[in-house]
Amino acid sequence: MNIEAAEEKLVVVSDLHLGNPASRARTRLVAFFDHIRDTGASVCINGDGFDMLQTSFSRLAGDSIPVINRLKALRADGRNIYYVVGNHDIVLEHFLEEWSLCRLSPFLNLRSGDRRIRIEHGHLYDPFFARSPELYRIVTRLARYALFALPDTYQLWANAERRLQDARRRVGRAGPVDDNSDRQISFIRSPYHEAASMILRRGFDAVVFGHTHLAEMVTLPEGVYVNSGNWLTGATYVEITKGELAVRTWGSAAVP
Amino acid sequence: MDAQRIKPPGGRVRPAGRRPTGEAELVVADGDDIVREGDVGHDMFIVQSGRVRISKRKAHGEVVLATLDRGDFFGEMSLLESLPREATARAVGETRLLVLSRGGLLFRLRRDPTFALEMLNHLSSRLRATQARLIALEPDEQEPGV
Repeated sequence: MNIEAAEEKLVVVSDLHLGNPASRARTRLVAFFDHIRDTGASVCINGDGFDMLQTSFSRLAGDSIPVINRLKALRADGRNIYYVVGNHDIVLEHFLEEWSLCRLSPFLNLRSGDRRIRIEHGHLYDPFFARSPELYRIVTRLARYALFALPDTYQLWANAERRLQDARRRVGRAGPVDDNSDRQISFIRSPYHEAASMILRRGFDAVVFGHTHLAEMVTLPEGVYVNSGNWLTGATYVEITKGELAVRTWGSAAVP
Repeated sequence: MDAQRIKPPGGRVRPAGRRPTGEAELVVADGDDIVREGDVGHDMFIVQSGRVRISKRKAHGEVVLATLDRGDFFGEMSLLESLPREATARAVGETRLLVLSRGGLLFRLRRDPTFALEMLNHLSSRLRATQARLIALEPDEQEPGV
């Protein structure tokens, strides 16, 4: 298991959910990876690239093959492809490990420029997943039927999640910046910000998660927290250049 | 243990000392010892910034075992086994450390579970390196009849 990596230029995408009925990632990803070929960047898929919980075989194959071909082209150009396992693709880790196309990791400790950056999917910090992983799996599988019947179900979930995160942010981010405050046992702050703070205290400059589907860049007292968002309905990615991070939307400027 | 007790000569502990979670932060001046070989201590340390040189006394002087960088950790052997420090750790440049007590390590493993995997990964590498050195020290086995 190799968890250390060094890249001067890396693009991080997450939550592609290829194969999921709600995912519109395929066509945009093909164009995006064609663009990445011109930039000279390596690529990290930060979890939930292939959706094994909410898919059918034919849908997964149809979505995946064009994307895999683009990744192969990047690999042939000498770029590194990293695949960090998420909660929707955890079953793939046995196969991906033998796949010469990419390097599979549970998380990556990236060195870029003079910075140390942790890249991790982030599902371990989802309170629902952490408390009841089996129930989480069952609910996710059941949601698959709703998604096949009505793909817009995803949008309902995403809107509810966004409102919850916004409420947390309004209350939780008002906390003091003083490092000695006992923020780590706060029940108000986003659990992902809490987890990022814990990791940042171990000598990291930035933490990149996925999982929440909400692209964001937040300066915490301990360092920078970034979320790479999703490609289900979005097209956001994190660009890392010599240690500098930016959240971007494919086809537009960086998120301020 | 209170954070002040682990304060090395020249070290600055943040005013609030150890958090309720069993963690503290420590700033150590260049050249100061963080722990000394043979001392009793139950904390482990993670390098937040700066560098730490690990050395051990030998009959002919001091041998440098390793120089640790950001994210590296040390002192876990005393924390896990309740035995005196095996080596001396000295700051190279001003060095900031995260100090974990036993309770702090347990709390961190619960809230930051990937740290367990990183620890095991490092410990496995060290064990592999030690085994390789041991094998290198062994005299070559003589073939029968030679």
